[in-house]
Amino acid sequence: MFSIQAQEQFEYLIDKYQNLVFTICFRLTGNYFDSQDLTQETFLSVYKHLSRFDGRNEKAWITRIATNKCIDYLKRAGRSTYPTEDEFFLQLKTRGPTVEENILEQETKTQLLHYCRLLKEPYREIAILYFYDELGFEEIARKTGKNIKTVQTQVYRSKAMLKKFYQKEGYGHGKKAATTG
Amino acid sequence: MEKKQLPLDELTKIAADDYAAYAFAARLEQEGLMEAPKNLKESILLQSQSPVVSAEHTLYKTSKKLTLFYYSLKVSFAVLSALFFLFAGGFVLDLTKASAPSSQRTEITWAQQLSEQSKNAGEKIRTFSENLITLEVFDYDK
Repeated sequence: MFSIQAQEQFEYLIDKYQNLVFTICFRLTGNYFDSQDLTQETFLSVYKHLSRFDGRNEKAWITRIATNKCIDYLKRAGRSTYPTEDEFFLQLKTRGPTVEENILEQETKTQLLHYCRLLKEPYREIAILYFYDELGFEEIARKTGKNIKTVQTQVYRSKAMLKKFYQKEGYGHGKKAATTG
Repeated sequence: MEKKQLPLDELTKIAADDYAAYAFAARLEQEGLMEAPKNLKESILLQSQSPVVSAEHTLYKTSKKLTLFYYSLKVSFAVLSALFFLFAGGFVLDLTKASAPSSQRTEITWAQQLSEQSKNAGEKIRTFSENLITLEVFDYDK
C-alpha cells in the first residue's frame, strides 16, 4: 500500500495523461485492445518508478515510457517501421481534432460494437457494457446483478475473444487503423 | 493520402530523449487526442493494488543506501555459500571418518580440517592455471 499523497499523485497523473498515452499507443500500434493494455502497462510503470522521478518534465517522462512500451510491443510483433497518419511529424495543418480524427474514432467504435455483437452470451452483454459503453466493473455488476469478480472474469475473457477477432481481420499492428481519408 | 512510416530510430530517439518526447507529445495534443476508455482508470488502479505491483513499488521506493545494503547482503550470502560448498566436501568426508571405529579415528580440529581443504583447493587451482598456461603457450607456439 502507498501513502494517500502518492495515491492522489498517481490518480492525478492518470487523469491528466491517460488520453495522451492512449493516443500514443493507438497511433503506434493501431490496435484498440493492445493500446489499452499498453496504456495500463505505461501507468503501472509510472507507479513503480514514481518515487525515483525527479519531477522535472512529467509529460516527457510519461511519453518516453509509453513509447518504450510500444517499441517493445512492436518488436515482439516483428515490425521495423510503424504506421502513422500522413505527415505526422512534418506538418501541422490544423489545430484541434481533424475530421479524419473524428472519423477514425467513430470507425473504431463501430467496429468494436460489431465484434462485441458477435460474441455469445453472457460475454456479448458484458463486452458491450464494458468496451462500448465504457462502464466500470461496479456499474456493470450493479446493472447485471452479477458478482464483481464474475464481471471481471467475463471482461477478461471477452477481451481475449475480441482480440482474436481483430487479429483475424488484420486490425492488429496498425494495418487498418490509419486508413482514413 | 499516402501513409508515411516512422522509422525505428526516430521512435527510439523519442523514447530516449526528453526534448524529443515533449515535442512528440505536444504535436499529438495539437492534432487532437483520442479519448481513453472511461473505465481505463479504474482498471489501472485495480492492477496497481495487486500484491506484485505493490511489492515492486515498495522495492523501488527504498532508498539507494538501503538498496545497496540489500544487494551487499545478497552478494555476501552468495560468497559464503560458495565457500561453504567448497569446503563441504571435505567436511562430509570427515563425518564418514568419524563414523569409523574409534581406534581408527584421529583427532582433527576444525582449524586443521579447514587448512587441509584450503590447501587442496589451492592445489587444484594452481594445477588448473598451469595447465591453461601450458595450453596457451603451446597453442601460440604453433
